[in-house]
Amino acid sequence: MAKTAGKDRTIVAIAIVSIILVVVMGITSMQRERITTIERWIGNVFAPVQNFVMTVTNTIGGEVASIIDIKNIKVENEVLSQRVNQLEKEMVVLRLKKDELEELRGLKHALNYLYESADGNPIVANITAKDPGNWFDTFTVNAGKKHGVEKNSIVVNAKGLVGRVYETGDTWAKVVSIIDNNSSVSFQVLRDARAQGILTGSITNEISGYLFDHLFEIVVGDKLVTSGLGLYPEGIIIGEVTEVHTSKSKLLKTISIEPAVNFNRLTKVLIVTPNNSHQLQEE
Amino acid sequence: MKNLIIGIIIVGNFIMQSTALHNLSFLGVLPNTTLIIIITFAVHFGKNKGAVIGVIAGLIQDVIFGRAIGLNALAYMLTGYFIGMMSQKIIKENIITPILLTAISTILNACINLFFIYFLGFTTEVLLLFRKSIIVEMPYNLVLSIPIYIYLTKLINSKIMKKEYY
Repeated sequence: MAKTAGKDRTIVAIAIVSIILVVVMGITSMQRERITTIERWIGNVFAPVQNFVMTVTNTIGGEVASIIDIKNIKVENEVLSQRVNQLEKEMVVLRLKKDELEELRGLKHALNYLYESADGNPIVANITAKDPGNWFDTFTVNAGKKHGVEKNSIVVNAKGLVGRVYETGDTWAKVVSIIDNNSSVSFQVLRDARAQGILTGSITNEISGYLFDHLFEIVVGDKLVTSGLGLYPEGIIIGEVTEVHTSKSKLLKTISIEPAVNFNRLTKVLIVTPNNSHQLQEE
Repeated sequence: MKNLIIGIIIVGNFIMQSTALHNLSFLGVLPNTTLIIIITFAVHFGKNKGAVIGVIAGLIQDVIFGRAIGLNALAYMLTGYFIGMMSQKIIKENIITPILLTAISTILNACINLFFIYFLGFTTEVLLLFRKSIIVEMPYNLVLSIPIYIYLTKLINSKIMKKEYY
């Protein structure tokens, strides 16, 4: 008798814990305004350790890679110096255009034309750890509330859009990348801003999407940028079109894209706090 | 002493898995070393300890990365419990044991995750998920399960684990 009672007790305990976990799951599955103190503390303990290990592995990995790649570095050096020359020439032209643009912007402001711009002080952060599971694509960075990171801040790197901040702790923040299967981005084609659509990530870390206007002739190699609808400000590079499919009924044009950011080799990101346009709308 | 060492292994594994192990990802898939460690402990310590270790390991992962807290905790707890239940009926010294158990629990884990991810309203592509977790992740887990199992078995049977307290 005693033995069966003991057995029952473990099963009951497992059942109770399961139910509690399911309830907690239900409560926490939505994006929350604030995280609990316990979570904050666990995060505060783990973040510095992970940051340290990540830095060490990245340094070692980088050193090893550079020793192996020493032949390629020479070739790369030549290519890059040519590119610098080319870019310097372009820069002169762009500087002239920039002056003109600033003048026009001043004019726009003077005419009381409402315009949005991303806030001026991006925060540089290192990636401290990446989700070991294969279901979601989240990672943590070593900047948090103390540094001014807010929920839904935009995360970019030099190449393009990376993702958005999901939750923030004191000195760390959870970031959901755009290749996660639950994130979607509204885009426009760089060469024609009227062609817009929506991209979503997937479980296999590929981004695909569709165009609102199925008649638009999108081609492989077209560059896509954010359209400014929704969370992300306008004009951040997302990636390049690699495939175009037209459905049989020809009413939907789906595309696959190659993101501009290499998510496997990501170590540093820039966090831009949300712009004030939302507040303007609320007022 | 035993609990302390188990704790250190679980936490250490989590830190390594989320940082250094990313350099070993294959086709964008990481091996689930947490799962292998939970299996090994459940085999040696039985279902109750297996379930507790599973909950703790899962909760750490959920709090740091999770979109819904409790998902991994539940999956790992049930895995630990079921493997622990089987532990009385299997030969622990056989090399086939970790391979077979890892295969079973990878599938079990994928099913539990899939079930809840679906009901929590996250988007899922069932076929893609299965392709990823069964075809790519499982062989990777199986290969890694052998050294981890052998090493941890040695550690568990060593004297240091049997000491009460220092």
